Amino acid sequence: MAKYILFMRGSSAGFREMAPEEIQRTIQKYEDWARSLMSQGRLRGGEKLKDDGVRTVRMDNGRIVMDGPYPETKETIGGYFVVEANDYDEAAKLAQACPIYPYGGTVEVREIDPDNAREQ
Amino acid sequence: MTTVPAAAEAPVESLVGNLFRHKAGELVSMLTRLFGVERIELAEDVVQEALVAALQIWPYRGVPDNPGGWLATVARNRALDILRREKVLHGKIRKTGGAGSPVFADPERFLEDPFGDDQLTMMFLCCHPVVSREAQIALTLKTVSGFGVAEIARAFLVSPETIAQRLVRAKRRLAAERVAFALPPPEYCAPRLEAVLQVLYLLFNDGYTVGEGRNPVREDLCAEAIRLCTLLAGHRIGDRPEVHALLALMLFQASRFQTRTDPHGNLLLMAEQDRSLWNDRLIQEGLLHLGRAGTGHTLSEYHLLAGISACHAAAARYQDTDWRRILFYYDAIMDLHPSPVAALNRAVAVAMLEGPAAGLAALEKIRSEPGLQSYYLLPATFGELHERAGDPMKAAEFYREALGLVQNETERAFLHNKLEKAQRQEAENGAR
Repeated sequence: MAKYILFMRGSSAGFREMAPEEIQRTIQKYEDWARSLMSQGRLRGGEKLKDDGVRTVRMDNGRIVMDGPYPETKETIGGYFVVEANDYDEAAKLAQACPIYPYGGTVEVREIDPDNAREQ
Repeated sequence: MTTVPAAAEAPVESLVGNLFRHKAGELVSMLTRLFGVERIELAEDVVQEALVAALQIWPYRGVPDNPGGWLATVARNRALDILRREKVLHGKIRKTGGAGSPVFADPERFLEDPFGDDQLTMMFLCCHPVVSREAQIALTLKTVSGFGVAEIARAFLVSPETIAQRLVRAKRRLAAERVAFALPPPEYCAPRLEAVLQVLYLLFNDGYTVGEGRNPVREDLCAEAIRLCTLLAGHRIGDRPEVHALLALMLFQASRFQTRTDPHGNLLLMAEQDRSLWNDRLIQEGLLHLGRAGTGHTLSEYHLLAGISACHAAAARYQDTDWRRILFYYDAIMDLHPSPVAALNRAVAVAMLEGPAAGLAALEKIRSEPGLQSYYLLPATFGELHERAGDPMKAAEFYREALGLVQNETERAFLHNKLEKAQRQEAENGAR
């Protein structure tokens, strides 16, 4: 089985208008999703990233510059999950069941390169 | 890596009931006391931030052992941050002569609510007479009950913008009138309590009215009215006969919530409901509060309505209903607060006790009441009593009139059935 990272990307802009009940329901959906991944033995971890201090370092006209912090309307990676799957399609299927989508979020599915060279 | 999220280690308790709603109401109330009535919106923002933080963190770390405590801690810390920052500003202002406030001196001390007063105080605040009745209901639902604007709008079938506007105006009004965050003083308590009870009763009735299709938000309104009334009845300020009476009334009505319609959503009359499905626990609790309502010398309309509702709850079969007692209560209501709708219901009791002709005679007396002219239940009741009196032709006439006044499909379908039945009866009579 290969390992995959699911990058959870979205913005919290719409969260301000969510009713408490709706927030609770959404958290419950994440709970259910995580539980279903666990019961299939697929969940290998996950971390939340801090929301503040999102900056991008890049080169601009030969100088290193820093962009950000960005307003909360900007989409950022809020966190990631690590799952195990037989192949990419299966990993993508696991990601499809994530409750992030109704709120404008997306999931980027990436296989972790197993680094066979070092193991040999 | 890899830290396995809490959710991955052991299945965590699912979030129970309406935890977020209730916690939001509790925290908004507490923070409104802390920030002041003119800053309800700041209190709401801080609480929303805490809820959103949960949404952003819990999916990765799992639901904490004490989710309510987690939310409270985050909201408190945020509130303290705000107050500390203001204290700094305030200190600078004070040098120029600004007034000090004990909240700024020791904010932590103000984060406790040992007597559970905050939500009650918030209820009285929302139902303050400077706010319109419609806005009182919306504000109570938004702040004390933790409903969202869209949910309130759905429950009352108006646009979210309308509700948002109502809320803004109500908050401005409370601020402009400099209403304090405090339980009403004893000399104003009775009228203020009356306003709170009216709002709770309206809330309940709005939820209880059978509308089109199943609307879970409306069921929530009933549950919330009962929750708030229970809170009120359990507090020294609300432990009064009329509060227990209203609570009993709502509990009896709620015990029949599921049986008022058949599986297809069609209205079922009291006579047609499956009484074995009535919620016995709610009935028992209603009886308990009805007992408490009987202490003291207060007799409110809620007492009488609860009494009527108890008669229905107590009858094992429809034919066992104590109509004599029900009529007695309706007569008392007509003495206390005469209203055309009460008179209409009284006429039904008269018909049950003395026959349809007597009921029709009682209906005739209120037929031209202006308040009943667009009320479909007046012609519908005429129809029903004519039908029982063996005059399907007249009954059909009235059902047709009622059909012109109905508000939704559920009522329309109900009357259509009645009309068809009367027409069939009429045809059979004609054939004979």
